[in-house]
Order: sequence, then structure tokens, then C-alpha cells
Amino acid sequence: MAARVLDCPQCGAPVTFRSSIAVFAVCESCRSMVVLHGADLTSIGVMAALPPDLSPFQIGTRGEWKGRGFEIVGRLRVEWEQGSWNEWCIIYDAKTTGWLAEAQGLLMISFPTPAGDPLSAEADSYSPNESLQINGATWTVTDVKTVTYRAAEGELPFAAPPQESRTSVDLVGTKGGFATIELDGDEAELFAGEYAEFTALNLANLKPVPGWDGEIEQEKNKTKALSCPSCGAAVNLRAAGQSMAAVCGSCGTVIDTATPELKVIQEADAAVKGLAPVLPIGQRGKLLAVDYEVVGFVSRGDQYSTWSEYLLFNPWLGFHWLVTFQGHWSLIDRVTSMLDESGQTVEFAGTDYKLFAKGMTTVKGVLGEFYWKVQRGEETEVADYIAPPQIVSRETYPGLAEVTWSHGTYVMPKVVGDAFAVPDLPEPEGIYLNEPNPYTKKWREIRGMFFLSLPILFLVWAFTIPTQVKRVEASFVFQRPRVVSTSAPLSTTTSDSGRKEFFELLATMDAREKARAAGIKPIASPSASVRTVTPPTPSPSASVPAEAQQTFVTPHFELTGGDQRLEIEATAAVDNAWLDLDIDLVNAKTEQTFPAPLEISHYTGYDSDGSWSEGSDKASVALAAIPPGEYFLTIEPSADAKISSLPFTVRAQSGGVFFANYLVVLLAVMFYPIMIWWRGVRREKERWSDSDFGP
Amino acid sequence: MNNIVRHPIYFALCLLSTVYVAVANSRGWSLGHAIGAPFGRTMNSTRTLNHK
Repeated sequence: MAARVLDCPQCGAPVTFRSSIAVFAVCESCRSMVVLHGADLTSIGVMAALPPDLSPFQIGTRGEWKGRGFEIVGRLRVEWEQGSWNEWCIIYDAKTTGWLAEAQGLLMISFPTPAGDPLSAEADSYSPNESLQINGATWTVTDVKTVTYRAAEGELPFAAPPQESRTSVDLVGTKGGFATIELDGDEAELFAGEYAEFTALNLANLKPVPGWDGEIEQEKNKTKALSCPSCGAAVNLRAAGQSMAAVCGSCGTVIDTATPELKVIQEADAAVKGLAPVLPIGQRGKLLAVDYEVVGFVSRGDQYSTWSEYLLFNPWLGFHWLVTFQGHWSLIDRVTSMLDESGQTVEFAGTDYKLFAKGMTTVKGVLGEFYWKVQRGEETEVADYIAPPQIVSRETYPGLAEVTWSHGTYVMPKVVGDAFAVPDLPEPEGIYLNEPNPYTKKWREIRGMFFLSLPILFLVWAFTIPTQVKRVEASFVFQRPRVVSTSAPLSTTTSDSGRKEFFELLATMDAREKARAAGIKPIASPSASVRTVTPPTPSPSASVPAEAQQTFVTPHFELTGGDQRLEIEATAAVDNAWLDLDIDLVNAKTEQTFPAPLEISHYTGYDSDGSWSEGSDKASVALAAIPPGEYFLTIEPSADAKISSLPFTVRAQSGGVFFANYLVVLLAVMFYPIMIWWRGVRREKERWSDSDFGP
Repeated sequence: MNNIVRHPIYFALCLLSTVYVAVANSRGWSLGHAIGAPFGRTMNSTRTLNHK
């Protein structure tokens, strides 16, 4: 950039033109407005003083935009009915003139852009919320206003004497697009660009901000003081240059701070004394790693309730809001693009937000200062869309025909209290519209584990089921024993042939069976594989008849390996009768027994509802963790009185599993996730019970 | 991984459940057997033959 240095025609001081297209400059020495005509400078008067502000920008500030450098060479202070802002003139990429607008804490960069189709130069042809197609893109008119130049410094590409006016049409596009159509006489000039983030501009040579920069920290909380035009009390401006209105803390007068004239926006109101913000005006704190100062307080309400809104200011990052209701807090940021509403849903940054509340709100009380000309009684139509913990709100100002969007995130009260050193913030009550659902959060955290554990659990269970192996199967015939008299001594009730048979049987039994059979007398031997014995007579002197008892014994079988499940199954063709089998699994070596009683019963019949059936001709029982060893089964049958003889089969097989293990473990794994999921659903129901737009 | 750190008890429950099912299946444990095992008891009532 080849700078031209000329002498000021008023004072002779050097006036520098860094930009080749600059035609207007303000002498730094005498504040003369000079216009460049060829190689000559002409003075057209003295420029008004710029109002003091906390802007971090200055002439000479450098930055980057879309990978190319820019430098600030001039400034124009512009004002309109509702406020004022800075237009910083930049030289972009060493050759293009552009503008960095600094308004209401937002930054916008724009450049003169040729419009494909001629734009109307008539202000009446533009109206708020109107959609325009310019250069193939869709733009929405946000406002149409008359702007006036208040003051300037540095160099500009056109002459901008104070009080010169023109019409400005502001437009927003999608994805942060920003544009202005400047109407001057019969000319319409388009400036198109985008909203910019302060931190993304890689700025250098910034102006130190009094009270905020480390090197001038001692000036902390020193603010610009004004005199209330109503009562004369001092009114401190904490965001000078950005504040458009301030409230006198003494009398409640709302003062226009956009211009040095300090006009009264709204008369004094004694109700200001009744406002008691829990975060004091002027309180500084570091909230979510950003330094803020509380500069304003609004008490706002609708027909049902009243809530508080705190305006936070950071000279580099602009304004944010802290909104609180019933102890709940949300940090709100302004959205720089128009959002598309689809029915009751709004999409923002890839997330769908659902309409929760809609209605008119009214400003009931104000304290501090604001970036717009706030007034008590100001009405706003608000629509809140939620995706907890986030919220987006659409605000429509009926008087201004303006629509703005904001985005907020729920902040835990303790975080706010710690940030602003207010330890006793009220406890939250109820469920706030964007309060995070702790159960939903937990559910999201564990659902991965939950859904992963289910198939793993099933596969492990399925692949560890031991194969079922038949160990023994034997068939027997139940014979109703003869009834023997017990009125005589044992020796006299047993026939010689029966006694002989019994002792022949004992001879074939091993030592354990002999011991078991001791004292009982044999009756019959139903089959070659079955030995039948009768129980001992209870007492020689007993006078009641006793039935003899059969006992069957299966062949021995081996269980190898480790502990295992053993299932014993019995089948018998019972018909409207029952068969009880008193089965013992006996370890042949240790003689440890495992009782496994079974009952087979099967009944059928007819009644008024038709035929019915109960039970079956099969029964089984499973024994757990049987140690390895040699085993056999002993079976003592008893049956329905009408059965005199009944064949039955007993089978033992190892392997298989107890399904209850899987079932209980499955329930244990499912219980916690399902419980928190259900509680999350209940909490959402409770939240939406306060909404007119609930699902 | 962060979720495992946030919910270590639930993660342990899932892990132990899987291990338990595998062990119970391979050793033929019933639920009652597993519950009683730490106390030296099983749900199979056992006895030794009476020789008298």
C-alpha cells in the first residue's frame, strides 16, 4: 500500500492517505475535514468530536479475513433513531476498501458489491421481513432506517461531513450473511459481507480498553460518568460507545446515551428503587472462561410470571444475556442469521428445536445500560424453542418490525454464583424449559454399554451351554405292593420263600445297598434290572396294615469333568392319576445323596367350557453343580390308589443350563438403564406439562 | 470410554453379569446354588446314606 502524505490546508500537519481510493480524511492535528481533489487538499470544515467509547479498534488495527490481511484506516460514527455504531473503514488485501461495522457488540465485514440486477433507490420499495433475491442469494430485510453521520476520523472513500443523511437497508442472509443497501439520492449501492467473530479476525494493534486490559487494570470499574438530565445524579456508562440507553439509578429516568445530548427516553419512575437484582450492576466475573461485567438488568414478564435478564458486557466479545427464572439460569447469545421455522420446529446448527412457549412479554423494570433504547412497557413477542440444555428464541418487536434470534444454554446456578461471587443464589424450583434432563444425559451415556452388553451376554450365554449327554436310562414297573399284617412279629410275617428271595437279592447287592436294605424284607423282583424291596415294618406291635414299598435302583453311571448340571426326567402313561417318584441321586463312593423327587400327574375331562387337560405324562427335575464321580439313582415309587401296575422310565442326562441365571442377569443389566430411561421420560412429560405445544 | 469412567458400577455389572453367566453355565450352577455358594450352602439338599 503506497501511502500519500499531504499537508493539511488548515494547520499544515501531515495528512496521510493509505488507500488509493480515499478522497476524504480528518486531520489528526486540527480535526479539519479535508477532501482530496487530484493532488490538492481542500478543507470543508471541522469534524465533530467522536464520542468516547470502549471499542478495542483503532486506526492502524490489523487483522485477517478469509485468509487475507486488512488494516483499519478510518472510522465513521453513524447514528439513527434507535442508536449509533462505528463503521471502520478497512483496506483489505492492500487494495480493496471495505467496512468493519461494530454495532451492539456484533461485528460485520462488508465490501462494495455490484448487484446483478439494478437495485431500487426508493426507500419505500423495501420493507422489513421482505425477501430479496440479489446475485442469486436470498436476503431478508431486517430494517430500513435513516442514518446520519455523527463524526469521523482517519480516511474514507467518500466525503462524510457530520449530519449528512442517507437511507440504509439492512439485510441478513443464511449462514451469517449480512448486507446493506445504501440509498443516496437516486443511487443504490450494495455492501455484502458476513458477521464475524472477534476471535476469528486474528487482530493486532488493538486499542487498550481502560479497565479491562492488564496494563491498565488499575482503572478497573472506572466508568464514564454522565449527569442524569432529570435529577442530576451521576450515571455511569460501563459500555460507553456501545450503550444506547442508560437508566438513572437514582430516579429511574431512561437516558438516550447514543448521542452526547443525553435526551430523556422515558421519565423517572420510582419503581426503580424496588428492583433488586441478585447480580449487582457493575459486578464482574469470569463466566465459562470469559470476563463479563453486569451492565444492565431487565425485569420482564408475561401474564403468568416475571423473570430477570442480566446484560453482560465484554469489550471484545460484545453483549450476552443471563436470563434467570425460579433459580434457573441460561446464558444467551445473539444469532446473526435468520432461522427457518418449519411448523413448530426450528433448525439451528444441526439441531432441531421444538416450540415450547409463545406469547407477548413486557419490560416491567430496567436498571443499568443497554445497547438499544430500552423502555419500561416495551412489548416483545417471544417464541421459545428448546432442545435442552439449549434454547433458541425469536423476538419480534411490534414497534420496530424487527425480528431477532438468540441462542442460549442452561447454566448451573452454582456456576453463575461462583463466577460473580454471589454464593447465595436462590435454589432452582421446578423444571425449567431448557433445564437439562439428568436422566436423558445418563441414558445417553450408558445406552451404548447397555445395547452392547445385551448381545454379548446372549452370545456368551449361548456359547457356554454345555452339551446334554444321556448318562442313564432305565425302565421299571410299579406294582402295588401286597398289604401285610403288622400285628405279628416280623419273623412270622415273612414266608420262607420270600425270605429266601430277599437274601438272594442282598447277595447281589454291593455293600452300600446291603446296608440300605438292612431290616427290610423283599416282596418280589419285577424285572432283571430292578431289585424290589419292602420297607421295614414300623413296629412288631403295630396293629394297622402297612403297604410294602418298592425301591428301584438304576445301573451306575459316570460324571466326568467338573461340576455339572444333571437333569432327571421320568415318563409314565398316567391317565387321570398320579405317580410319585422319590428319587435320590447317590454317589457310589461317598454315598452322598441328592434328592430329586418327581410327580407325574395327568388329568383330563370335560366341563361346561369343553375339554380340559392338566399335567402331563412327563416330569423332570434338575440338580445343580453335581461333582464328578460314579452315581446311580434309587427310586421309590408310590401311585394313585387305582393304579395297581404302571411301567415308567427314568432318564438322567448331564449338561444344559438353568435359564434363570440368564434371566436374572439380563434383568439386572436392564434394570438401571430402563429405570433412568423411564425417569427421563417422566421428567420430560413433567417439563412439557407447562407448555401449550407439548408432544 | 468416557462413559465407562462416568458409570463404572454399571460397566462392572455388565462385565460381571457376562462372566457369571459363563461360569454358571459351565459349572451347572442354578441361581440358588450361586446365591448360596458364598455362604457354603447350595440349594441341592444333600445327605449321606444312613447305614443303620
